[in-house]
Amino acid sequence: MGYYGSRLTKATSATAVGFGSLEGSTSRRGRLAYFGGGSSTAPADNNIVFEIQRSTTTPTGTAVTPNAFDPADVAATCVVKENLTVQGTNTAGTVILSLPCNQKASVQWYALPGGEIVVPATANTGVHFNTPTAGGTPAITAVIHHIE
Amino acid sequence: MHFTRSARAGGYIVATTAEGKTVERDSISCAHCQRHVIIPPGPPRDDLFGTCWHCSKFICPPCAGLGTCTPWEKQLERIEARDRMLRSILG
Repeated sequence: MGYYGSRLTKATSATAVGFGSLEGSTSRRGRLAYFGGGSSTAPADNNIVFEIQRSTTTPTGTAVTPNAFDPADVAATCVVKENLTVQGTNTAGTVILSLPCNQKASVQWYALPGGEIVVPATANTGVHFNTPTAGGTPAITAVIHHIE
Repeated sequence: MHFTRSARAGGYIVATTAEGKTVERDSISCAHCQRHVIIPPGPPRDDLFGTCWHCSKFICPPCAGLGTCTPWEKQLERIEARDRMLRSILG
């Protein structure tokens, strides 16, 4: 199994369109093991809620090449996108993780072994990283680690 | 501050506050949908999680309300099998 890191950014966050996505491939499942997020906008008292929600269609966004932590690993097959402009289809009632934080602050989530969020080995299906609440629409910078 | 991790945790959160303090919390993963529920400080609360008596795992209240046992692994297998079938038909 390879361990991969990806940076997700969005200059102007939006409540209806997320800032990133992780989709499986037909050959391998993806396991989200880490999420760290915050704002790169100047400090202000705004509220941000980071949400990870399952999706069944691919969003439109900028492709990110996941960086293998071990240079000997093969390239990641899962698809990572940032700066989404068109949201994929989020499955109702499948918000897996909800992390509220202040724009001045940051929040990190670590999966313990066996607690990773697993996306199926199916193209275009995975999870979106959303900001359903983003006071002042601040810039978002996040990092995800996934295993496949 | 020393933080003791729960034996049943599926993950944990490290958050900084606007005042610069660091807060750590455990999260428990639902065996049926993988939803992570953050455990608040204080004594254990029964309303945060249920137990599936079929697979003997912690599950979130919405999944407990369904009254069925469908582990996430089984759901993954169904999603992937459906995808394989569609790809074989549609090419």
